Amino acid sequence: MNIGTPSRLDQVEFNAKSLSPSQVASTFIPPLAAFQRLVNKNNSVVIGPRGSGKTTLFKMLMRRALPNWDHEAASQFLNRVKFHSVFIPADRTWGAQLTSNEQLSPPPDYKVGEAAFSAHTLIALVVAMRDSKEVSDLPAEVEDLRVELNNDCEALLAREIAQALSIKLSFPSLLGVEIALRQTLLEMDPRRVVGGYPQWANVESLPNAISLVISLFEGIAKPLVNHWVFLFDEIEIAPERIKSFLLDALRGFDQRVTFKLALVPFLKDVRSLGRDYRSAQSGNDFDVIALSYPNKDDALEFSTALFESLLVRGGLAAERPEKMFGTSMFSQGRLRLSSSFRKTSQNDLPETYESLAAKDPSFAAYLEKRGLDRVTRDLSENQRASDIRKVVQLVLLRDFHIRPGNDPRRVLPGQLVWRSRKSLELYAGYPSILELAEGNPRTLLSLVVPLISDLAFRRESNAKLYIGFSQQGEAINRAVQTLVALVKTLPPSWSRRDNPRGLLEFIDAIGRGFERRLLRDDFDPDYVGTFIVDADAGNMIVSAVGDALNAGALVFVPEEGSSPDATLTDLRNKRFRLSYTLAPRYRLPLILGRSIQLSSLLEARTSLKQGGLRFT
Amino acid sequence: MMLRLTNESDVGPGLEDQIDLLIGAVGYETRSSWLLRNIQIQPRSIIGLRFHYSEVLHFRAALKLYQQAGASIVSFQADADWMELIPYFQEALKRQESPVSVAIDISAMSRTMLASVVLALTQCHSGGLRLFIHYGPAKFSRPLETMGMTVAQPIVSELAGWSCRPDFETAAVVGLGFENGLALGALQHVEPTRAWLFEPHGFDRQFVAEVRRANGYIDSVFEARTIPYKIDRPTETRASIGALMRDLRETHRIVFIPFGPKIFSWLCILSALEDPSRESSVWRFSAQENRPPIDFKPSGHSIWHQVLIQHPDFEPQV
Repeated sequence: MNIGTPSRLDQVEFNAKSLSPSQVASTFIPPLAAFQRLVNKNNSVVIGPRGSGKTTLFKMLMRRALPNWDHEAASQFLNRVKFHSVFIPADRTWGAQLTSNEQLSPPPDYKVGEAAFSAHTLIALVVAMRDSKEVSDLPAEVEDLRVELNNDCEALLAREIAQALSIKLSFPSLLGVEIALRQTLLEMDPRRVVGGYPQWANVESLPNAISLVISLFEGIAKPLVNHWVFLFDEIEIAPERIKSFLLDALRGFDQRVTFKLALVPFLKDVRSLGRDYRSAQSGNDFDVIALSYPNKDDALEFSTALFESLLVRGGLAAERPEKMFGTSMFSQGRLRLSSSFRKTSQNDLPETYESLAAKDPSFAAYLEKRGLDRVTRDLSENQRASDIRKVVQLVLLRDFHIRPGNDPRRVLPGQLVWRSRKSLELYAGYPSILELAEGNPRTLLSLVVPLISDLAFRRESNAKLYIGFSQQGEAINRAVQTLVALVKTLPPSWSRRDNPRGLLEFIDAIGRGFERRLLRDDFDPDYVGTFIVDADAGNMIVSAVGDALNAGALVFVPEEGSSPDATLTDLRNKRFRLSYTLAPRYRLPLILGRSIQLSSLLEARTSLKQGGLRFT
Repeated sequence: MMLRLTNESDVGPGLEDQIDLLIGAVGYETRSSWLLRNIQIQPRSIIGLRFHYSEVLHFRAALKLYQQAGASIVSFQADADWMELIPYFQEALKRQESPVSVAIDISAMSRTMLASVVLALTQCHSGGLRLFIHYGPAKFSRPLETMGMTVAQPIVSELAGWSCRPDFETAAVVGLGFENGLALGALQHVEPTRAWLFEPHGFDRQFVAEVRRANGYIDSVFEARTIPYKIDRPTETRASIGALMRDLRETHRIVFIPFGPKIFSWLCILSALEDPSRESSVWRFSAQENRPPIDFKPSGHSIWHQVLIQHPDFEPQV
């Protein structure tokens, strides 16, 4: 969601981790529905795969971001910020430090991960308190967050906190407290230190320590607003007891404190955590905010807004995406159909349909059966046009990939044509190219920023240029390969020996299953594009689906009325689709489609019921 | 622990040098026994480390060669604790005067084995330790399809790093290999904000071309800078790594992700262990036993990196 330094596309950051809160805010494009639900002081769980913008949303709530909100809806949102934010960053290397150091030989005599996490959280709280004094140029809407803390009061506060936490101050200020806590954290390095560690440095004592520090601030700084929202990023990487603590904390431990947790869609160990995650109730104790979009139209508004803002940052006039990218073939088919059918009732079938019917007997039979190959009295023009439009993506893909066979009665698997470069261009053009990104800002940025940069350069000499389909095909290939590389590198959370090629083989099996039904089997107007995990699926299948979901290779499709966090507890009987980013790899359309059981999709390729994952 | 280096060069052992211990992997690659067959100096002791998986291809021949040379064969499981190696090394090095000289043939070692050997050795001396690291590059062969990773984590817990600034950005120092998309996937896993890509230049130009082909998209996704390095100039490469670490240390947490020639892994491990702040971590991404065994043939080139390590508590007598 963040696009870095204004007017310089070559400085666009694809990951908000490297940006300060003020940088994030200055170029922020909000996913409106999600942001609206986040900006309040309720407990929240923000769910999304990698790159979906969780860190960006959290950084937007930090005090240092507030003066830089300049979106048109900024004022409306700022009016709802009635709290101080404490951002607790995390990443995989930090997570590995917390867990790996507990496995040292000989093992340390205390919970290294918990101790370090507790220190890290308290440091973040003290940093937020420092910010409340130092960042005073707040917009009028958040005037109540202003804190008057003179040096004497700050020194008193620092001394009191130091005493409460048993830390030694070099100088009495909040900065001094921060430094002392960092020193404490440094000394927790189990390879370095033998000896004690503070009493508060475990998850049982942390809530009390937080409450104590907030009480001291309340008593001495006397803030008008004394509500603190803790923003925990990437909690899936934390050791189990910390995860358990955070999920439990959603039920609340101090009225002045709420938690917002950023999570991937599936936590394998959530059910085995100390207490059930469900003991805190979604919609009651906390709100669930999903940053993935089962229906592509939901993501398109955000993707288009982000794309248009990138054009402006790239020094190009804001133009509609279709002017830059051209209209995608999938949409073009639709447009051409509707216009041609409006013109004449005696119209022939579109060229692509005739082409496919000539080489694909199953499609010809479908046309005949539905009466689409001729104008009849039984079928109105509108019905006929609607029937034809409904299958336009399927027809385009089949016509593109199937070549005339020797046996006119049947399309044989060997007759599929794999035209890699050209087939990528099927997905080029607007809106397809934005739909491929799934509303995932990181994917979208990596997909379109190089294209816009190049266009900006070329337009210096010719203002009429646009981004050609072939060039878009390259960018699409890059997006596909980038996601494939991630999937290939993620170690699966199931047994290593059962699937040597790892998660990618599982995803490939799903993708090829959809592809087989679409391209190799007889024409089916009712496209199968989603699957339901079997009720009796083994744990390995569930883990594999969960891993793919977290990587962004699969997308959860909740049933009407069900919560987007339903995947946190179990994946069985839930519906999923492949990420549209992977559609070009398996020659699939960008539509949802009906669902089948995962076991039917994979069929002979795996022994699902035995819980195995070995593919044949 | 921290290593204190007092000398470093690309010079291998001379005929006048004494090797107290030679350590190598008893593996399925022909090059796993190349040094044993070609070393000019008779080591006082030899230890062959055995993986206990993929014991195919050249393994039997290598085992025989090690046994004929009088080597002690020591098991090294994939998830072994490096401290288990200490008694074997202590036994082999007892009664040797400081500094002890150890040659390690890393050509066929896993990264975990390599780190474990170094960590264990640093516990076996109270004075100086002279390490002769040998790397024998393989003849060029086209890469196979990359297998799914089964492990993505610090090489060993001691190299997980430790930072009091988890809020700092992560900077990745990556050794590039020729497995398609592997570095790109690893970078997405670790999510650094900056990446420095060390591109290996060896004895065969085909290798560089394959490396570039396999890593083509990284700079489209990450802010990355490529630094070429010559695999036969370890000291020079380590100087580059050191300069980079000094630049990054104040503002970033450094994570090493060494793919490609094993000599670069050694340089990363050494640099992380030498770092007084001990904040840097060294990661591995591995398919472990799922990787199909391939008998990489030795190219015949020998690359040496020699370091003299002083125990942190050791004060040389004047």
